[in-house]
Amino acid sequence: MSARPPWRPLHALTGGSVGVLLAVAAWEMAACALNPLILPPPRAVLAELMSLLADPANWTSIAATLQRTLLGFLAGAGVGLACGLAVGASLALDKLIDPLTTLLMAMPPIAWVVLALIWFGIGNSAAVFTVAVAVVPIVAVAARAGLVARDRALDQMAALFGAGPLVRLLEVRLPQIVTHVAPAAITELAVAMKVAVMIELLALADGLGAALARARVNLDSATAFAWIALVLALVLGLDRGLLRPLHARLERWRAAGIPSPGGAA
Amino acid sequence: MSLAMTGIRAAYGLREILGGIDLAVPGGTIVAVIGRSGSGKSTLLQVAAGLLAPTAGEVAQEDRIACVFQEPRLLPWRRVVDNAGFGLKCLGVGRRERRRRAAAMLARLGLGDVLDAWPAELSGGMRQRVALARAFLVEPRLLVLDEPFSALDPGLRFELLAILRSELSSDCAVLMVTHDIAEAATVADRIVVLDGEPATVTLAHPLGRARQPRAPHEAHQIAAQLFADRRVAAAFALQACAADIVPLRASR
Repeated sequence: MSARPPWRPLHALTGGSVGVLLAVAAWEMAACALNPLILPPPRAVLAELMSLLADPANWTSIAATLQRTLLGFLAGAGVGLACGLAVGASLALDKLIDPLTTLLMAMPPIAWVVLALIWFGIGNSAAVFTVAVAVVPIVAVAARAGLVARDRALDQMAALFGAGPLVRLLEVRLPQIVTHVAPAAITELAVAMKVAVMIELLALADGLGAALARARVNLDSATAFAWIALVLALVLGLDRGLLRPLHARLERWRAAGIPSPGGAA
Repeated sequence: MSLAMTGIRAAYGLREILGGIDLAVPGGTIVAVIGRSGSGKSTLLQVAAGLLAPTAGEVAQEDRIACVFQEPRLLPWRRVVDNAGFGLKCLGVGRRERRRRAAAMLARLGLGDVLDAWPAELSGGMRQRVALARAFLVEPRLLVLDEPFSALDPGLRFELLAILRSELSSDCAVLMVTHDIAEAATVADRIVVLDGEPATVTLAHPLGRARQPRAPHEAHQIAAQLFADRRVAAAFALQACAADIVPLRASR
């Protein structure tokens, strides 16, 4: 009595990327009807992408953007997590900081770009700061929500066994907020990349955003499309290659309770 | 004396829950506190475990306390062996030593082949055995039990109470609270009845030292005798229906 999932041929052939293939097909058709300056065909963009990747100088740009994104993301997520934990643990702090988080979330990233350039000047610090400050409030709100929703019976159990603050944090509290923080972090990684590209485009001399700005000045739409495709591919790669596997590993225990079809009971 | 409480009063907000409780649990004995839900049992237990400060009275307890609750309260994100070793981790025992001792204890409790399972993969009885292993591993001087086996079937319950008797060191004091007289009568050396608002001890009934858990029929006999006492009936709000009780007849 093993309940096998039904065989879906389309799914099996394309690995679930039917949506992307359909979008590319629509793009191809639209490109035939339009001026290639406005919408270059997918083949031209792919060829341009290949030649971009063949140039080692472009890898430096990619590395610069990745570094800003990841540094800003990690700093923002770390600060957000710490704020959320502090706020979730203290009602007074919660009342104090809650309106501030709302304000922080309402702040347009572009406004942070202006402030960051004034404070830090043109450079890496401004980019990392802008990315981090965009990530902080969402992660803080998620961490707070996770802490509020925690199982207090486990807190009591840990207290009875005399658990110290570090054991309570690492063994009891943090694992419970993963469920809330992970979706926020996955969303915010994409935001981090967007913000990094934005500040590069506006103010910096290197990185994918700066390359995109050059393509705009040259009215080189195939190159612009290639850079955009590269940004999307990077976000997708970080999401599927890093964050989702990490999340799945942290939440392995959840899947353990669900009997798998065909697996041992 | 492993746990001694004298003149304990405790309150939640303005409502006084405990109205002067004297209770002693010498090392090596099992004392069961019974009463209906909301009678103050859990409050008494929290005071005994040092989680709640009494408003009056004195508590003298051992510093190495372990606890088993009605639900196992395992960490779902830790494997069985690490859950069993949680108490040792709190005591600062290193990972290798912790896992070694936890594995040995789990093997004695019949869980030797699920060391690396997640709690969600175990049955209710197995999870409660992991919780027992976690408590035994810290070699407690005072073990506090909050209706630990009331969700289990009679066979499992008997098995776990037998483990409790065999695995505990001979000088460990056990304080158990439960609303289930049969559970109390299976293993306790003394049964204490809690009743009233605020709660006081209305009856302390010695049963004598049980080296092994009493068989279910024996425990139920003790329970039946206790229910015949008006203080016990009152503690479970059964005075009103006492007159209506008709002896059961065997059905055809």
